[in-house]
Amino acid sequence: MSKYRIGNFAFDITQPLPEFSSAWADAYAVEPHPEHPGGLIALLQNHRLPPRIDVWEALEGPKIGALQTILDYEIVPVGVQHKLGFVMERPPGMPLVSDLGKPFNSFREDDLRARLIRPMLTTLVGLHGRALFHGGISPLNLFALPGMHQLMLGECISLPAGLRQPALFEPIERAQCPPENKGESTIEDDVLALGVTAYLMMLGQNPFATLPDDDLIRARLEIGTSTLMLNSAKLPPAMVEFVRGTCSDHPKQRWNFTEIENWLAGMRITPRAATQHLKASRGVLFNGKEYFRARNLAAALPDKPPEVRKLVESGELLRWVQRGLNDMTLYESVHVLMEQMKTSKETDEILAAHFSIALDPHGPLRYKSLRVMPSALGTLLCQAFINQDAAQQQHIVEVITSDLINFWIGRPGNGSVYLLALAKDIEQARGYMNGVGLGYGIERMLYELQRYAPCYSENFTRPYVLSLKQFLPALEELAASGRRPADPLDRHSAAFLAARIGGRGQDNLIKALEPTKGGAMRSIAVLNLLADVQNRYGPDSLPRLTAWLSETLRPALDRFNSRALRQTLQKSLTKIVGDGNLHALQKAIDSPEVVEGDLKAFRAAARQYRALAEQVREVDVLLENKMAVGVAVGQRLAAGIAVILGLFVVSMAVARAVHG
Amino acid sequence: MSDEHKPEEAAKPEKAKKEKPGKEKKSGGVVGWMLLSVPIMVGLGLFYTPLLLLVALMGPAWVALIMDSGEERAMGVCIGAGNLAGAVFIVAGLFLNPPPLATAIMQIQNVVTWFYPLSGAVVGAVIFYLVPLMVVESVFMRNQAHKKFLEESQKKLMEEWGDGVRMG
Repeated sequence: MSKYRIGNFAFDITQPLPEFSSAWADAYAVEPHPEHPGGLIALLQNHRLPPRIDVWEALEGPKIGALQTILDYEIVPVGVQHKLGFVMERPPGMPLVSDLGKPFNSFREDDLRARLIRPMLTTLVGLHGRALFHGGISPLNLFALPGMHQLMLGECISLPAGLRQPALFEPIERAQCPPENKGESTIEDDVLALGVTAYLMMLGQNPFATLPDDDLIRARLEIGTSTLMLNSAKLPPAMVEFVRGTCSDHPKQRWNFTEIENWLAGMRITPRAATQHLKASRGVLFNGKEYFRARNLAAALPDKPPEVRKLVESGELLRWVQRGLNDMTLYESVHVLMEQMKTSKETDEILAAHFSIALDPHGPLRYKSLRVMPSALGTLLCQAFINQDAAQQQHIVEVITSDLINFWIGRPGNGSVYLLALAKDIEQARGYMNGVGLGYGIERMLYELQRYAPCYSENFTRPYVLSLKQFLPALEELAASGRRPADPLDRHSAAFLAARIGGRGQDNLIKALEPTKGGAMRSIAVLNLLADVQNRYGPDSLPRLTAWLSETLRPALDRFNSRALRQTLQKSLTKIVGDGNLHALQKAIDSPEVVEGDLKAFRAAARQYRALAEQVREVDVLLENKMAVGVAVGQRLAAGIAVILGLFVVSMAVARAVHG
Repeated sequence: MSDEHKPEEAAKPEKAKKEKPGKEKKSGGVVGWMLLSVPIMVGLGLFYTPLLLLVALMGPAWVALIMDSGEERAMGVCIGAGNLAGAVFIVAGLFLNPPPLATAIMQIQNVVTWFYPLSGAVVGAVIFYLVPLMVVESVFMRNQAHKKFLEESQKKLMEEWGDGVRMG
């Protein structure tokens, strides 16, 4: 079987499209569809990182500018592992650049204005109108016919934001993070990516191609992104203005849409007052190296946490901030941290992370080997579970259980609505961490923080469980397989279920999964949860899962006292298993009327048993004293018989005497 | 005098009232016995020989009654009833034609006269010893059957409800 469907669209996996494939996904040609004469392609994911389904939902409606439209997505049961597949518009041509390390076609300023910047501005305005960002604008993700005609911006849904974005196209803060650690982006970051894209397309080469990412980041930190770019190439004055306006390292200094529009119209834009990161008059020595900028020192601090403590306790850091940098705001911030340090007993690593945040408030959160933007913690956890990286998981837990995220969000300029909501989510996730049973722990935290993470249960290595709609069919498949475990839910699937099922009423069901509960109660809790999922998401019939659950419910059957009731239930279970209806199974085994009725009847039977035992004891006394009891009665009876017989004989004798 | 003593005074007439009927009953009893003694004396006068014979032939009954220490004197009653039947069988005809004293004494000395009273006493004794044994066995068997029924009922409850039903 080579043909598969995603929604209404059919595609054949024997017709791959290598030009649109990547390490992350394989592309295939979709059969012609009358409503899409430009053609469609199907993209099957080769990874299990969370897609941006919320963005897909927000993009429903009129097409946005040059953005590639995703028409549908679905789990495709192809090969040994099910894959998440997307159907999207076919790009009109190849990517503008396939390798940033090699020279490529350059374009004139007029062409760039008309064929790149204008359509991209329309696209960004459309995205901003729906409170979205793209997060992946680069020549690698822009497709067009030769001459940059019919430009199309590649989709931004199938991967986490910024995952495929080279560091050059990211703002300096995000550029310092590994690809999966970047988290949510902003439309201002898209403007920067557009500026870098236009810069490269103008040059026809990447001047930083030979520069390793770390060196590029260091250079950007040292002199600023736009300055570095403009120092590395000679551009026409208008393009210099555009690059300087769009590639500023300060989001608030970056051009907005009106300014780009004015620039496109040929107007001169008044340059904004540039805020340079202060360079100290003297350096501070840390780990054998001298630093002149707070941001650069912040990036180095978590590499040697014990040295940070020395630097802080000696007062050298505070002196450098006060006298070298002469930054009184930063001085105040560092001073407050030092005062707090005296009373708290935080580890060297946490201390280093705190001072790193204080020195570079907008930079990534740096803790041990982690370099992560707070909004990426969920995605990073996904990556840690996919790679089975226990150390990474532990680091994330330590970050979440510390106050680092709140401290980061509390820095001026970091408290966006999204991040404040994230702080609330993390506070809640911290509570889930403390739970020990199924449905809690780090797994629950993962699914709470990343709403579109698929279930990473080892039971679901073949099926792809993105939502509760796929959950029961996956369990049904597992039930039918030979590798069925003892319990239907493991830590991951229970946490996934708990996070996705929602609703306050479900909390008690999740709590019933705790290991302290008896086997019967846990089995019933699992049944109740799964029955609820079947009721809400289907499918209607799950015979193999029902059979599996009915086996796990044996201890639950044993909780009924009445043997007759157990036999009746066992018989009815056989019938229910055939129907595959979990709700019916739940009703049979956990109906309050049946449970209560059994309990009442049992109590009555116990009372009856006690009464019978009392009677037996009484009879035993009678049997043990049989002579005492029987003789007294017998003697009374004997006397009665003797008197009756005697009177009879007397009356006979008298009668005989009278009648002669 | 305080009001607290008034109830004691009030109780005195009630006590007096209670004693009066007793005195009347006692005097009535004496009169009754006096009236009853007249026919008894007349009867003893008319039938003294058959009565003498009857009292003599009831000898085993008197012995049994004296020897029976039981609360209900069942043995005495059994032997006495049998003995009375045997004695009446001999004496009944003599009340219609009472014999002289010498004849009555001769009859007492006659061994044959004692056959019926003694046989009656033996039958009474047999009843006294056999009937209790039969009753004991019957009650024992009935209790055993009842116990078996109770135990069966308990077993059925345990089969239906399990061992837990014993603990309640």
